[in-house]
Amino acid sequence: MSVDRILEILDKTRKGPVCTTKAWETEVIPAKVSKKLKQHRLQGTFTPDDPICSDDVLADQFFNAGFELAADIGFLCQDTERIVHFNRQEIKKAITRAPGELTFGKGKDTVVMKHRKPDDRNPMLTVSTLGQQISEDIWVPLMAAVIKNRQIDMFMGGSIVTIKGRKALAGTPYETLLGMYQAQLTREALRRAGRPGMATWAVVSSTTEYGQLGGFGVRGGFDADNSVAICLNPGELMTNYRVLHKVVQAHNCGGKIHTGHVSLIGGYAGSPEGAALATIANSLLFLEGYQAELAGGVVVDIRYGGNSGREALWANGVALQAITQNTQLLKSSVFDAVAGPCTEMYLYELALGALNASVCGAAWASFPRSGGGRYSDRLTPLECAFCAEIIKCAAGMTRKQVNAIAKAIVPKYERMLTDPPAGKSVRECCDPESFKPTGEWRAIYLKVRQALMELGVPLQRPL
Amino acid sequence: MDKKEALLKKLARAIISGHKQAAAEISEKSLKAGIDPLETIQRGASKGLKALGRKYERLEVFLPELIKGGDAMKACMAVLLPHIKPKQKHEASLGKVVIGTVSGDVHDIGKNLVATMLAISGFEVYDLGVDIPAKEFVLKAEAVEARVIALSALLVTTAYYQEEVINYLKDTGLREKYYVVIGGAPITPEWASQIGADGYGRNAVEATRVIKRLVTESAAPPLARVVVAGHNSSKGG
Repeated sequence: MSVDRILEILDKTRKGPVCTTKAWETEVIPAKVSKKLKQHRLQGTFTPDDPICSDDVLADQFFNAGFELAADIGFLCQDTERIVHFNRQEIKKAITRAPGELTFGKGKDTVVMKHRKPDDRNPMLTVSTLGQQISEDIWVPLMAAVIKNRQIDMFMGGSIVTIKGRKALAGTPYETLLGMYQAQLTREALRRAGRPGMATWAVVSSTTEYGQLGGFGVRGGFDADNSVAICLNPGELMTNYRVLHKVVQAHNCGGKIHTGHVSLIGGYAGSPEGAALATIANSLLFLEGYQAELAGGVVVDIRYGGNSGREALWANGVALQAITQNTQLLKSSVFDAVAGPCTEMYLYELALGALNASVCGAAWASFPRSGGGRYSDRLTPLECAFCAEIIKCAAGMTRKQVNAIAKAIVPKYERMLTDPPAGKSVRECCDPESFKPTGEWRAIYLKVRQALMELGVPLQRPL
Repeated sequence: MDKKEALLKKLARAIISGHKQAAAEISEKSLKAGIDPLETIQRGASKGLKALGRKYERLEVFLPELIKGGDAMKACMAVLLPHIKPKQKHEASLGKVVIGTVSGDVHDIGKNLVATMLAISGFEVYDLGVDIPAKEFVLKAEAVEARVIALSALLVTTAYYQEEVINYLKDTGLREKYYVVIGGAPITPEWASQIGADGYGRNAVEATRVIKRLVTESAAPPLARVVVAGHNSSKGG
């Protein structure tokens, strides 16, 4: 990391062109996205009957348009209401600088993350559990039960919202303490799972910058050499000083940075095509803006708060392909399910998320999110293992194959997307000690698994 | 088509296309033409907003257009409301809502969507923005004589501040004056019940429905049961 470059970027947040947040969201983003879609003739390219795109030419067009959009629009700093611009050369340099391969973990838990292309034969890496809210009393044993599975490569723990029973109010010293507390609980979960060297994503429970400042790269906290700092944007093509605090803190202690954002279908970027374009621009811009190693970001449908419907599957797939076939970046994916554990819909949503990410070239994916992240303790080791086994077996499958599977699966649940089954909490559908699934939950899993195998997913043996 | 019908249609079109200035100018013209301002709202502006809402549901327009439509509606109301007879005011406006994202939370998209849906449905909306301390919600509600305080939170550790607003209302002896409605990605009816909120909306459409129900059908706040779309939920702890 260059301190000079970080300073230049911080200077841009104070000296760039002025723009109010409202104008940014309601004028600038829609106008620039729409203009770029028109220029590249990308409007109306969404194909509802083919939710997984396999058009390489279209993906290239999206990349070119997304790259131009990034250079044209920049991003807004919420605190100063100023636009941070990077020119084409700066963005190109950021893409070239970002690694195409990284080694994570220590000892037996070492894994190598490599760039993947669409229809790649190498499996992507798996990161679980994606910050789903988990109660303090079961956090360590549940997390340990998830990562005992050797198909889970890296650890992103669930969110904790209390500290020794007290509410961890965001932006207060409780949160600062929580950063360290989560590091301690994480070490214990890794120890119990017999995977002490596993790389971690941190600090998941850092709502503001305080959790990160309290727990990342400090003595007794998350080891910056073996952790990735999560720097998630507050909105579309937007940052703020809270996130930039996290960025600077991570750089200060030599940590790697994962940028993340959500582009919303129905939101400021508009259509599935607009959201795909915005997420490409976001991914490229924040590589430079945060001097990051890992490009995240995901498209979510505002109408139901997930990404398992055909519009979101398509937009995520196109954006992934655009980036992975035109760069060497380590691009991630996230599966945002809206149903909950112990339902067939949940497993179908996750399966399609995993298959889509795999064939579109994601290098790694973090999962699972249930119920749109609404409910506490709606996470079990079974679906984490299910996602991991699908990801590993999907290496070598093609986008065309997965599209055929998606065409069969999406109609099974799409009518329920706006009113999905909440399912059951881990306390209701798993043994309270071992977290093994109840007969009901396992039967649902076996049924969905069988259906997927009949559709051509090359799963080997039941868990 | 007579002049009145033409003006009402023009106003609806101005709202649909989000033209604030045009909406205000047409509203002025309708007053000069002697059209009952309540009729202008109901058969012109509201009609336009409803059409816009339907377009949004079909993804024919998106959030920016919806927000601009809401802004155009506000401009229209600013012209027409002062001319509405006091006894008709409840027909023109369902009441005032103070809305914002609570302390520690800078996410605005869900809150913006609810604020716009409320404006579309005939509420006067005071959007405070994001990262708003408890006291500011209450001060604004007092200043504008609101009936509802709507609190958005995207994260559980910021949802705690929804409870802080309710506690602040209780501690200042103002809890009986306002319906408190909460929402956001991690919010559940159980949480609403636990902290003593009056209403819960799972999404923008439900939040609007719930707030409408609170101001038109419910007993005075605080309610013993949380109003949710479709049914009520008992309050706990």
